[in-house]
Amino acid sequence: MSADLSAEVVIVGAGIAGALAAAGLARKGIDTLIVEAGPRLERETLQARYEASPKRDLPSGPYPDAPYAPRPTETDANSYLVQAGPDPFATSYERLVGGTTWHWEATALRFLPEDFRMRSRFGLAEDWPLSYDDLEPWYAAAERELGVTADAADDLGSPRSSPYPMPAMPLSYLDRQFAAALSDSPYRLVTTPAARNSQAYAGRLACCGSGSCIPLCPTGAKYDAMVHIVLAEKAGARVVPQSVVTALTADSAGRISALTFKRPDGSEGRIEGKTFVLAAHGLETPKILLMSRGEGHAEGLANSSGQVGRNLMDHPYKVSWALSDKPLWPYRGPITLSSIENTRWGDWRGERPGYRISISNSGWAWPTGAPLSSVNRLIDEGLEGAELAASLREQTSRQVMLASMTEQLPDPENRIEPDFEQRDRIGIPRPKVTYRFDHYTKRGMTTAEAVHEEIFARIGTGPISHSGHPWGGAHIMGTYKMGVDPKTSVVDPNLRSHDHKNLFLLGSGVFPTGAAANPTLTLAALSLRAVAAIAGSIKE
Amino acid sequence: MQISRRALMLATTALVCTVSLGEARADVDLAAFMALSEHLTGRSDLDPVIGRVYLTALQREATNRDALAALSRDPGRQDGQALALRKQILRCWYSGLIGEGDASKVVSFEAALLWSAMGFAQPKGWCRGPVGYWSEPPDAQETTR
Repeated sequence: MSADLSAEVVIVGAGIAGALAAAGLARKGIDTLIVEAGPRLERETLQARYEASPKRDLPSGPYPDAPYAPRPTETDANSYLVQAGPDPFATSYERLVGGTTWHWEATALRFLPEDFRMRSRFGLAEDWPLSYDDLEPWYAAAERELGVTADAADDLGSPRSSPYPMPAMPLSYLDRQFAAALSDSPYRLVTTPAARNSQAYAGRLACCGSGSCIPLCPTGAKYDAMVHIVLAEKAGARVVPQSVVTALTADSAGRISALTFKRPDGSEGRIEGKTFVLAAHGLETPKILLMSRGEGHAEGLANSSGQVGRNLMDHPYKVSWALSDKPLWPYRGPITLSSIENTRWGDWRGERPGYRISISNSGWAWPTGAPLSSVNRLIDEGLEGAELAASLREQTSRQVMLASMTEQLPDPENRIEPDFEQRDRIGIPRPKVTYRFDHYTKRGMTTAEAVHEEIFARIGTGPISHSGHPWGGAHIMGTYKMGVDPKTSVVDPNLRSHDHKNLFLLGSGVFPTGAAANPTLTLAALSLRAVAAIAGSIKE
Repeated sequence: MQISRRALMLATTALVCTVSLGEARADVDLAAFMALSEHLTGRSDLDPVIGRVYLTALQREATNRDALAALSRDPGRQDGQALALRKQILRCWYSGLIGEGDASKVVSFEAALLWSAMGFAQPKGWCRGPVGYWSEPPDAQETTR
């Protein structure tokens, strides 16, 4: 079959990892092509879809459910995912140009130095093949690219070589009441570093407080990967949407020579390149590799270690909510602005997970679907007229919620595989997920619940509701891990496949461990760091 | 109150449906439904264009028609069917949605009464003000809209 397209570097996936790499490569004058499974939509279209969607406040609410590029959502993970158990893998991600940064919260934390050394420091899992110091300049670069706002006076345990690009976003009234209530506690409330503009930055507006970071920022004041898609295109890169990659092809020398893809109508195409980059996130990237079966690689490509698809990690959440005794006025401004981060570190991490607690500035939106759920409950109780309006105002003004995000350890039995028996609508195997929580995670849930009760007691609340089993954080990590030993890892510290010198794998799938910080800034830093090696590979 | 383009579009569609169905003509006229809605919500500024969409949707369920007629004649009715209908009407106005579950549709986004009741917030997804407006509690005007 002749090639439909070709480029020097072919990147699969138009999310943040692929977009940052594409912009970096295109700026070097390299012919770069991004292939994206989903469609391309503009912000205005998505805003109209958001306003017209009865499920508007779910992270997936405004985004397309393209028949040719299905994805798991909060209310329907299992039409696409095949759950092999024993625990359900609750996750969601988007398949469109710009990827899941369209609906991300924009929390932009660095990992801690000790997060890279879990084996040597705590005797757990393994160390990363690079150190915090190795990555530090790239964290700084990622903060500039995304536009991160935070408190300059507080490094949150991650030493810095340069200031944040923007001053801190002002905290909400609610945050300030929590800070006061916690002032003499072990829990230090801080401004959460976030990729949201506290002032105009890089041609984008300052935040207008729409309260909808999830699912959609109406103005682009919150960073999303469209920023770097557009920058990549300005530098000459091409973006091809609606092309679902099904496999890579390797030549006899072990170089990747082409990829195959399907179009929405099911027809097939082929793209050639000198270097290939998979940046399709933690489920789709390993699925593509494992679907790339052939002579001499019956278990897929880049998989001589047998680790592709294994060590699937998330950040399991404990969520607790209550009505505060006094009105604290959530639903004003970004959905979260503050958090407790000093619980991410401590000598006890060998026994139980590090965790961070975010303070909700959007009431009970996540756990109950408020304010709509609040309306329905008050109407069910029989309230009408002015009394209904007053009660709704009064109750929503007192909704407080805490969410603890905990570290999950890698477990080789937690894995994603293509299910060749169960296929999607254009005939591509669906992702089968085998997943279980261990005692480390369960201890994290117990700790978080107790700490939430302590914090709520300090602020003063009515009865407290807790999530039961761990809730998914939709942070998909670990499924093509990085390491120095080709026998036990999939990519090297430059994110290059040990098995194929012209193949790079980007995204949080490379994380050997997941820490207790949101993964995006770290995967962005790693992607920026990999650009030099990717560029070098086309000359080899 | 602004009339949203979507409400207008849906209202037009709904009108067409009513006419073409023939026998599905309204048993309760719009004026009576608006009076009932104002009674239930305690508001006098409801938008009749949106009201027409709710009325049409409610009357699409045959069991609602007699109950709606009875409730319009006597807005104080509290019998089982009237009570369910009172809640249904309030849910329409407060949520801006019609229908249940996967079949539900947005009639009105910004005019849903929940945002009027929560005057301290704006319809989620709409800009409200400059960076930092959220640092202070809302003023009295914002909480009594």
